[in-house]
Amino acid sequence: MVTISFSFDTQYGKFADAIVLPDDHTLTDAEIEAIKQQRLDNWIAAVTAPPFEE
Amino acid sequence: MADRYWVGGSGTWNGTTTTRWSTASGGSGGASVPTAADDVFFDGNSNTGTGAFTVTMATSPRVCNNLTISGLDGTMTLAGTGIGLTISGSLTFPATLFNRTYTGVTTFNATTTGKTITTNGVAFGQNIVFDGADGGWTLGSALNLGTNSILMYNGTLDTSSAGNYSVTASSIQNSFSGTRTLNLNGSTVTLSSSAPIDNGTFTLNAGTSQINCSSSSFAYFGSGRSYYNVAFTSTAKTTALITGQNTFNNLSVTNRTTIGITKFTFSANQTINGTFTVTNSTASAYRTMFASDVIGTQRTLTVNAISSIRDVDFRDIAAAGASASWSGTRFGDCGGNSGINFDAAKTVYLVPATTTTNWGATGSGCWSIGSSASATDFPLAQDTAIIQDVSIVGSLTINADYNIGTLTVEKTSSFYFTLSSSPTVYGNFTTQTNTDFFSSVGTTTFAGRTAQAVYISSTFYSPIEINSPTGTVTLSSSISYSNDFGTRLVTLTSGTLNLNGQTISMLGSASGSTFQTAAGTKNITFNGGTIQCTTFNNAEPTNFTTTQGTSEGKIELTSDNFGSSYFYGGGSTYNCALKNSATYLSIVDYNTIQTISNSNITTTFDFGSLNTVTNWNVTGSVGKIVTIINGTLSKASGTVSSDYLNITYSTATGGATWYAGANSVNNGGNTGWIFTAPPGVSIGTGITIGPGILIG
Repeated sequence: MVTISFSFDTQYGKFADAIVLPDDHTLTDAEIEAIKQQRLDNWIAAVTAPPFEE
Repeated sequence: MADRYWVGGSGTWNGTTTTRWSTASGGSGGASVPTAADDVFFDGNSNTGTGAFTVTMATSPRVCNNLTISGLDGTMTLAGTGIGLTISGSLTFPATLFNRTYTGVTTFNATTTGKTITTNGVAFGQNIVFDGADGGWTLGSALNLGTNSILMYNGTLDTSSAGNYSVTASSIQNSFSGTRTLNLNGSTVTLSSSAPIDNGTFTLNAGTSQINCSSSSFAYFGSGRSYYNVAFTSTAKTTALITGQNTFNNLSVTNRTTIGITKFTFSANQTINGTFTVTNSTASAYRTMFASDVIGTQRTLTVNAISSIRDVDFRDIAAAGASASWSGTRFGDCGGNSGINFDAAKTVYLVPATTTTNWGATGSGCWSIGSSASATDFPLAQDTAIIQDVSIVGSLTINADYNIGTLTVEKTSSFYFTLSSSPTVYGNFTTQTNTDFFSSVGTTTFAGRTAQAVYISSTFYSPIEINSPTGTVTLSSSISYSNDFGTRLVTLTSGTLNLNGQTISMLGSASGSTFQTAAGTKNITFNGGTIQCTTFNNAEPTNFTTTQGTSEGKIELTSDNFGSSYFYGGGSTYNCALKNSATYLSIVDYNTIQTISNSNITTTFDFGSLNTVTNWNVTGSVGKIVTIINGTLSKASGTVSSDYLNITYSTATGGATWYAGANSVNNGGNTGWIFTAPPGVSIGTGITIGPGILIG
């Protein structure tokens, strides 16, 4: 497995994640960057969602 | 322990079907269904060609040791409505070509350390549970549970000291009995619940983490732990209770961006070794309040450094540490504070307007120390706010739970206060005859620390609470609730209510009315004053006292349109009269009451237990019989003289002689009552009104 750790500093705090891929993965650098951005977008959506009230 | 590979594309993962399980990648099906000891693999040979496939879990929970989904060449969906998945080893989801749609709980129950959880951006659809004694799990990527929670039953969860991976969840729940540890390293943890980390006992190694709590209200946070950086990030917070004696590195509170006041209350002292930040509001009516959870009990905030802050109210807060004393802009002083420099008290006026207006507003607002409104003139808890004759014609809405100092209505013509909130008043409160004070939802609380004079000469439409430790709220006028106001409620929590000869009249037809006590040290000083209600409920009799003052006052129980009336005395001593003006009055608890009396109506006293009286002034009249049932009445000395009573199961005792009167009826079960007139009070031919005095 290949682990690509990455992080973003945002106004909502630091987002840290990793993309874990098989050794023989075929993703291009651009595709990996797109995954990073997608992860960030998903995180921002989660942390800025209206509060969940039980 | 064996390996099990999924083959053949879509299928059902249940407890019996073997056609999709193989002992090798791309091998033949027919291997046994994986057990909790088996490693399960989904890979590029699990499907047919590169086609998408769905594995539908059934029969909850599905179990395995390690679950590895990797190297897919077609999109896989792991499905199963409400089906749980229990993983005894590690979990790896792939970064691409994978959907998680199953909605059951995922449980990690390893009992050894060294397990990893790599979700690769895949969010869980339900809570995840860690329940393995001595188990240890380290994140291999960020963990996202959306609105679901992490439940720590047993074991250690580590966010990875190498990756410091982010965690997003509703809450982290720890109120369980196992041994649990949470290592947060340098991670950002975002929690959306109103109870972000519950108060279970567990080991929190905060590292250099950042915990962001995004809820708009918090039932509690803290529980006496050591945190690193914590931020409360909502811009629309309402309330937050910080429990326990916590230590923070940095503590940050994002101020409101809307009209209102956010109340942070502390149940214990707090230490902030770094910086205490309150982001600045953009309007004086966007306020934050820091207060003790118990009014009158100070909490110390020991703070190394504090940001430049403004539009904050403080109550029972002691500022300490290198940052003290604190200064800022528009600091409101609600009492009980130390180490904080407040703005000097000012007098502000409601500026003339032609329409209704709000107490708190954006822009320039509606308050002025001169003639023009200015946001900086927003009235604080130490200020005096005056509504003059030249002020608006219509109404003023107190539109948030603001802390109000002295409020004076000078305007003599019709004027309406409308409460869409529950304000707290710290100074004198004066209205005029034509001032209506109408609450649709909130309670008006009087919470000064010394003397507050309340003059409400108009009809009142708001529940009242008196929570004024060390203070006295003195009525300068009677308070009359509107007959049709549904929530006629007065709560005495702490401090002295000095009736000052005035009457709190809670009579009405809309519903019953209640005067009640709450936990705190409180006193009613009557000075001849009266409380009229349908229910008197001394719900918190501890530290409740009454004082007669200049003359005997009374608690008058009425039944309005609802028949019954109740006096829950709480076993306290009442240095006043208890007057029954109801058609039925139930008196509960072992009370000591100075005087018991009644109105000249047909009525019933139902004594549930022993009541000790000094003066028994209960008597009926022709056609207005007073019924006495149950309980024991005790009077130390003297002669009781009643008449026209109808008595059942009543014991009269204590040393006094209890004459029920010649026209009273003994219905049985009575002790101590003498069913005659007292000697010398016989009425008849030759009317004797005293020994040796014969008339006629």
